[in-house]
Amino acid sequence: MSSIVFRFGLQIFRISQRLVPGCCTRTGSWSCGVRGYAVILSFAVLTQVARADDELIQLLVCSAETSGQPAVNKICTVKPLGNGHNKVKLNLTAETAPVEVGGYKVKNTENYNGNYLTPVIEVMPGDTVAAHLENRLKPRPHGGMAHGDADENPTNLHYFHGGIVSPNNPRPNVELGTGDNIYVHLKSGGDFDFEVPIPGDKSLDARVLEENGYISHPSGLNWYHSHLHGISSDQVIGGMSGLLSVGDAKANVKAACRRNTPTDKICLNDVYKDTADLKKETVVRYALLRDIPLKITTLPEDASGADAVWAPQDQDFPTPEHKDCAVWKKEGSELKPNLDESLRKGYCQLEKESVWLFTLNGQRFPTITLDGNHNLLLRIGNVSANLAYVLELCDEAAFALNKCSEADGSVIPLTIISLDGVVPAKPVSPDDASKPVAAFDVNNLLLMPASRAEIYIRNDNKLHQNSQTYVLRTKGLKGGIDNWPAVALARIVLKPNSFASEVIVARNAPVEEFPSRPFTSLLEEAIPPEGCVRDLESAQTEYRRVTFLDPASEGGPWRIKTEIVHPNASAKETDQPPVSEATVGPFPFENYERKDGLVDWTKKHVCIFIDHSSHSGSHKQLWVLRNTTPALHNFHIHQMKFRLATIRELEDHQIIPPASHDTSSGTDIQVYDEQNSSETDPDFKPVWHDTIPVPPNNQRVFLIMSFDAEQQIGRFVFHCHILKHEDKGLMAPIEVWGPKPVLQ
Amino acid sequence: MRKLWKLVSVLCVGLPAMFSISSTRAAATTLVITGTQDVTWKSDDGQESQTDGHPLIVEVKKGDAIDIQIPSGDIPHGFITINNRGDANPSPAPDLVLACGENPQSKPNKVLRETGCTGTPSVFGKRFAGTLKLEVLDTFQADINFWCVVHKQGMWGMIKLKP
Repeated sequence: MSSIVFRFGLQIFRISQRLVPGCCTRTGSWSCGVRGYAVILSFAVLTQVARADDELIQLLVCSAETSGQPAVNKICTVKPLGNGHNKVKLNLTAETAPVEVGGYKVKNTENYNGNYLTPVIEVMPGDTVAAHLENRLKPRPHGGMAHGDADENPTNLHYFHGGIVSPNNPRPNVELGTGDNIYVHLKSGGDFDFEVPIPGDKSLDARVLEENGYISHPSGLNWYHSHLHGISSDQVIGGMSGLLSVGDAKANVKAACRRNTPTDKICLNDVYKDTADLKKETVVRYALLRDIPLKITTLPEDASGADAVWAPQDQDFPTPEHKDCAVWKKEGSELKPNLDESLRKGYCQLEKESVWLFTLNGQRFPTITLDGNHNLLLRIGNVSANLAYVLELCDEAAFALNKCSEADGSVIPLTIISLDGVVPAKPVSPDDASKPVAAFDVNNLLLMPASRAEIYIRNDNKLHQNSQTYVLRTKGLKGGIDNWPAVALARIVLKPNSFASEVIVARNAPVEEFPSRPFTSLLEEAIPPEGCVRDLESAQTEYRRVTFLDPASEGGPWRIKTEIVHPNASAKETDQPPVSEATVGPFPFENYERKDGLVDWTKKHVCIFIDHSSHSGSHKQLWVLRNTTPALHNFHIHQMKFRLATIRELEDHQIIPPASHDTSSGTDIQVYDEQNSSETDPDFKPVWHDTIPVPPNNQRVFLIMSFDAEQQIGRFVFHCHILKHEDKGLMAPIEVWGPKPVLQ
Repeated sequence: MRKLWKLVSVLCVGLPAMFSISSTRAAATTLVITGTQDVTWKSDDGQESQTDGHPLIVEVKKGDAIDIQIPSGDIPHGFITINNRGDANPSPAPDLVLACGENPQSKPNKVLRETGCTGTPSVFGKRFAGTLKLEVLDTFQADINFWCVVHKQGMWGMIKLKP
């Protein structure tokens, strides 16, 4: 059936190409073809129930290239801004509607535009991304929200996660801000318009990535999602999220400079030509990695359009008692749970009448087929509300025997070209950008909820005469009270190829430039807003300690405590006394919420002052995250990136480095960077993040945060991005303010 | 005279017996185990559990008292017995402790008894700040395991009978 749809989609696409000539002129005809085809194919495929093993559905793309095409006509508009850039606007209607997921027809999830599959937005640095959000969700009972209208199903939008963009939400009416403002509180029946400029050429202070000049917003994969405290987990599980790419889909596909020795300044290859060839050979697939709990009467293998009921309240993962997830199979005449991991193709079950589906683009265990000498750029976002995935690519035969192993070569490395929307590299000069260094490989990739990656899978560098099939799976994660299951997610088929390329895939580092512009300091109007506690005194080597805490009483909300610590060499880190007047909490986010759902900014909260206009100094801060709870948490902060601190940076703050890795969760979680120094080591390669796991039971993670760009001014949050934790209190407000008359 | 003889004979028979009993059962002592703000159990003899799953191991005698102290602080704790080692997927085993207000007949497997119950509700199995007082009963034989009701396998321990 899918092949019929395929041909049907292709035909419509060809017709549309004749009807809309020149609609795809921006990045060349190949990518235009793929993208246009993707639009039409997904449009067609959405009319049928996808089955396991079907080719991966491609998502609608809303961009300057696709706007005007029939499939995106109603949801995507693009208007030129007159400066060579565009405003790309998405219409999102939050509604309670049935959707198709993993072979089931699911009644009444909360989603956008009545569809589980949401459009990908592609915008360029310098563009403005906009959204018109309508709340047409049906009222339904919600538990655990502090304010009164939870049952009316309010919503809002984090637009967008990963963006170093302005919240544009000045006091006193913070909730009216039209930027990336999660303090919007949109009641049922209401509408709201978001408009978020993305920093273009030389307009983002490079100190946010620890360089001195200016950069464009980093190219990479980001996402948008509902963010209303108390009910965000339910809404995201239902499907209220989507991917957003800054830069075109292949912006980070680049060939590395091949050198005789690492210090050579001359490349042996033509980087420009190799990059062009590599892009030509690259097939892009966007993948929404999602999971959803359902009540079922038909088992997943038989669900060909069977009805199922959305059950967000059944959030049994991670399972507190380490209960194993099974697949119900017939043994004789009886259905019995089977714990064989190789049976878990896109699902597993804690009981016969329910299922947890793990889907890519709403499909259970789809296939991605790569023709010979074509490479796959998998642009994957873990848009799960609560689940961590440890991605691994395992030979299908080994997987069937539950024998995936790095040692015997059945697990092949994943080449990472970006993480959390940024290429893992320091910004470089235009000259160095023409000689990029190689990307790095990992055997597995921990993708916490909200994390994104661009993973490059090659089918052009080793000759093979037969098709090779791999299983993309999560190998599971256990630790503390958490138990995320191992589940197979997709098949990847590499068809035979005819030559072996020598091209090496590179890290496409952001390019740093130094515009001349006048800087002035306007410090005379720097009066701290009400409710602010004092910031760190960097000259005193102070650091910030953020502690995640269990409820004070049974059933209460989780809490966050934020302290400023003045180091004392004689004490161990956890005994370092805080500066008492700067301590905030421990509070759950509910502490700040008024009955109408808005936030009381007069209460004590974390504040950071930046005088970005003088472009002097830096607000690089050490944050020590301490997780005293028995659960793994997932730290996230809006409007910025961060990296792990180095040993030297810990020592500078009189912190004795603990073990650098925590393996108590069955996977390797790094808690600081073993590279010695970010300042003096020219080969220092930071890996930027906007989410990071924080292991349980009093473990700590050490981060460097840079608050330096005017886009960071405003009110936003840091929180645990396991959304059911966030909904239960693990979120805190933060305010970055600057001298007037800059937008506050 | 007969009364005096009786008294002497009682003393002659009874006192050695009493001394004999007290010599086989050393004086009861109180062991203090503290739930710390570093998410560990720490005993007053300097032993401490580790957050990597390494347990606190203590030894007691029948008749000893165990004080579980949880000072007030940001990080909550509580004490409950479990049916296996903390690192072997145990379940709570509250049947090992006779808590305040419980009928002794209802817990035939009890090996510890909560004491100091005058007018205060039981804190066994709950998060609390203060002291949970326990007595080691004569039924105590095999090692028992316990963990923090909040931190579970990240904060567990083992109570053994002194040889």
